[in-house]
Amino acid sequence: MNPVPLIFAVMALVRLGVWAVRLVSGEDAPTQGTRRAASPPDSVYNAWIAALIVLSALVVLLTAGLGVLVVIPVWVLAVEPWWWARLVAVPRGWTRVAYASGRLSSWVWRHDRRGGAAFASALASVRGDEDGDAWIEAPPDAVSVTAGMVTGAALLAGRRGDVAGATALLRMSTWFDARPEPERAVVAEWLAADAARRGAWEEVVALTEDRTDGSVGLAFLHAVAARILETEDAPDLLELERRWHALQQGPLASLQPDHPVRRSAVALADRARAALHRVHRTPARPPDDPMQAALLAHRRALMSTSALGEALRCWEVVEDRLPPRVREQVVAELSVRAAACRPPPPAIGHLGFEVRDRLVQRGLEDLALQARALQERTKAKHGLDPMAEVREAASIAEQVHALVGPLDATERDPATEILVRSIFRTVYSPVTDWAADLYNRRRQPYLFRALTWWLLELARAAGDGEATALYLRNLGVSRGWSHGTDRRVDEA
Amino acid sequence: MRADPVDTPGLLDNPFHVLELSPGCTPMEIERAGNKLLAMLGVNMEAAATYRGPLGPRPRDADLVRRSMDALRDPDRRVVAEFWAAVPLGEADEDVDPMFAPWPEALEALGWVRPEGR
Repeated sequence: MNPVPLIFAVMALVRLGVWAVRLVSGEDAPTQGTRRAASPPDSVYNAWIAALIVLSALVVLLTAGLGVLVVIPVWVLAVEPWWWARLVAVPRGWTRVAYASGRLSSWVWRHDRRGGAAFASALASVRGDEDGDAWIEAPPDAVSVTAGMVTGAALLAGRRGDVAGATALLRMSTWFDARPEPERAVVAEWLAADAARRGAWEEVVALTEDRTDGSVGLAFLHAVAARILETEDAPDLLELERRWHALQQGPLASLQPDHPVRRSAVALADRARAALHRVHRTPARPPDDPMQAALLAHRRALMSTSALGEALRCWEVVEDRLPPRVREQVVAELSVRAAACRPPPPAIGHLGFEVRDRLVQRGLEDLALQARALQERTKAKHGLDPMAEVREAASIAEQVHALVGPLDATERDPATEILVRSIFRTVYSPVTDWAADLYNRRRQPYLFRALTWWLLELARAAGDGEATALYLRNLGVSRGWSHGTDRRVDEA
Repeated sequence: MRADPVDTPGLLDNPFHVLELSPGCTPMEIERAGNKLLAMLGVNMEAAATYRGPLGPRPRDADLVRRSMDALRDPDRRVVAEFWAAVPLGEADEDVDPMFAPWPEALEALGWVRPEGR
């Protein structure tokens, strides 16, 4: 019996079955309130599948059945076009093919095909070394901004050199619901690299811990950070070399051997190898002269944020001997270093208080100004285009992150606890009203949910039970029609 | 978070380190060293593009050289610069542990940001 017709019949039935299930469950296209949005990609996708069926049948018939050897792999890729993007279009920098593949993806990006298209084309633009806009549609007002679109915009911003803006957008994307694994891996790698840039190796370990098979970058960063910090799961030399080799074959392959970036990666790998044989010396005896000790500690602090506390303690001892100008320079230089800490370092001594105060006060002022402007804009019903709204949200979230660190931290020093409550009082009303406006008037349900999740974590951190209950209710109301979430929604 | 850029450098970009002079140098030596570095930078000599500071090699450009010369011409600012110049340079101090130093080129190395000169 010729199995070919049977194979085709099974494939067609599977496809029709998937379509029918999604139609009945209503999880196909995003809905907005009680309206069901139009779903052009579905009709395009189904036309695509129908055309494939016809073409495949013709190929098999004309080649007397041998064409099935070609048809089956094509079918496997066609049913989930995302694999075309991942394996073919992105490495070659084919932004248009990547865009189309993402748009037609029915499994990986089924909840966010437009986002998948934006993400795939941005990835192709970045990996393929292309310039220019990469078919990222600036989503018109009628389209809901999703995680994939945000991540795509972030990658393009990073490509243009706006690293701070890209990092803020990517951190904001983590608050969106239902993010597929490819998007999560990219965001994790970027945020881990950002932490490595700041020397926050504990943060690198936390971001890469369960993701070492996500990409060669994640695997390498985890290996290096784990070795530097000597964690329990730190890889041995063989595993370290394997990950280093994979990095060299991957992202580093296009760089010349003497390129400064490649040399820096080589130096980091050497550092990780050296960590294997690190001999823990007893710390050198500090100089007898407290001023000399303070100068050396200051130098260590400028090299590593972990030495900031020691530097502040040393300067505290000699503070009364410092000329005013030198004192000002100490505070200024340590503030620049401390700006990389998330949250700011604890206030140790008068100088430490000044360093922290300088950073925190400026941050609070900026946040208050932005919150006030946001409130005015919401009252005036003045909306920005959807991606600009996301950038505003990302900017606020990033400022808060810089001031108090991750919102889900289980331990905070007393000063940071007070700061969290102060920040919540500043942003609670403007951002809550804005989020409601985004949902009710602007039809941006995913951004609304992302902001509400963020507000919920902030309210929990600030210990505001009433606000926590409000946000839980808001999430529950909108959750009825939206796709699922992987966040815990239990009460605080 | 924003921190004010350091307009009167202390340890970072100390004028003596930038001009590769000792704290006891004369005004003539300051002018000679500064002009020499400016000439080298003018013809893009690699040797002038970096200098060795207490935190290791750091970039140097014509603007930094001019600002350093200005700082050392001012007696008040020179005294302050002499204070910071007492810190030994990088390799001389065994107590400095670069193990935890940051990796500023991480995003470029992983291919997310276009590196210069690629």
